Amino acid sequence: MAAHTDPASYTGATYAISASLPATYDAAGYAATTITYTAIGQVESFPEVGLEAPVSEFRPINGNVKHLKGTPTYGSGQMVMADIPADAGQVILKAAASSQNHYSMKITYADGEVHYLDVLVSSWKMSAHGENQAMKRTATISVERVPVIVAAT
Amino acid sequence: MSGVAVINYKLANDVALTAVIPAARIFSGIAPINTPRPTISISQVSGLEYSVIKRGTSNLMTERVQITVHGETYPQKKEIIKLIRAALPSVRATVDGIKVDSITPDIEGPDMEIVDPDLHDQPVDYLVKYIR
Repeated sequence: MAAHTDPASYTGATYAISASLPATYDAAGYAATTITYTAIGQVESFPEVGLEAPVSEFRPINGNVKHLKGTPTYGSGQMVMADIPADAGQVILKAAASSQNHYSMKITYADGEVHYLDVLVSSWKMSAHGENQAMKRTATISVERVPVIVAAT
Repeated sequence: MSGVAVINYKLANDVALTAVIPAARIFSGIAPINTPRPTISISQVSGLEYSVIKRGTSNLMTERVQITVHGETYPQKKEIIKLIRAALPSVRATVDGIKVDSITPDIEGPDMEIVDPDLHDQPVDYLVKYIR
């Protein structure tokens, strides 16, 4: 499918994870056949990720404020999904939360665009309980490098 | 496959309830005209699927199902509602081939009492979660 040229939604995106890391952090490295990505089922939401740099201010006595840009971060937040204990992707997420290792994530959008992420998983929690509430898991994902984006063709 | 089907099956197969209302007078949808009372009609008020980014082949569905009792008298109507409550404990089980997550009572509707014609009705809502 061709890349979207109109506003599009996230509906239909799939999320997958691998314990393997690429030889090179580019499209070729992430797409290597040596990396097996396992789908994560029943994903409800994925956090906002991407480059953000902190900005500090220098306020001279004379003159205007200068803005200084710091080192970038690539975002972290909670990924939410229905709790499925036997889901292979969720099993890997759980293991990742207990590990100091980086993991590779692959997000495939409905138009075929792919984002690869180098991530640390730092939590694996059950959501708060409530009557008539779906059982959910939340995983805190931190992105450690600039996302590698492969355009839809 | 629906919450209405789950409720109908549970009620129509409850011994205590069907001693008062035969299974043939428990209807999904509205009861036909001239159906003798007491009778029960079961209908869907609303439904909502658990929202995930990529839908799979199995999805958790929540349906609000309204069970309306059409009684011959006020006390009979109230007794039937008690029997309905007893017939619908929350279960996680396969009901008539449908994987049910839970059945929970929700709001009880108003008494609907009419003098002429002599009508004694009342709805009770249930939330049925099942896999569709």
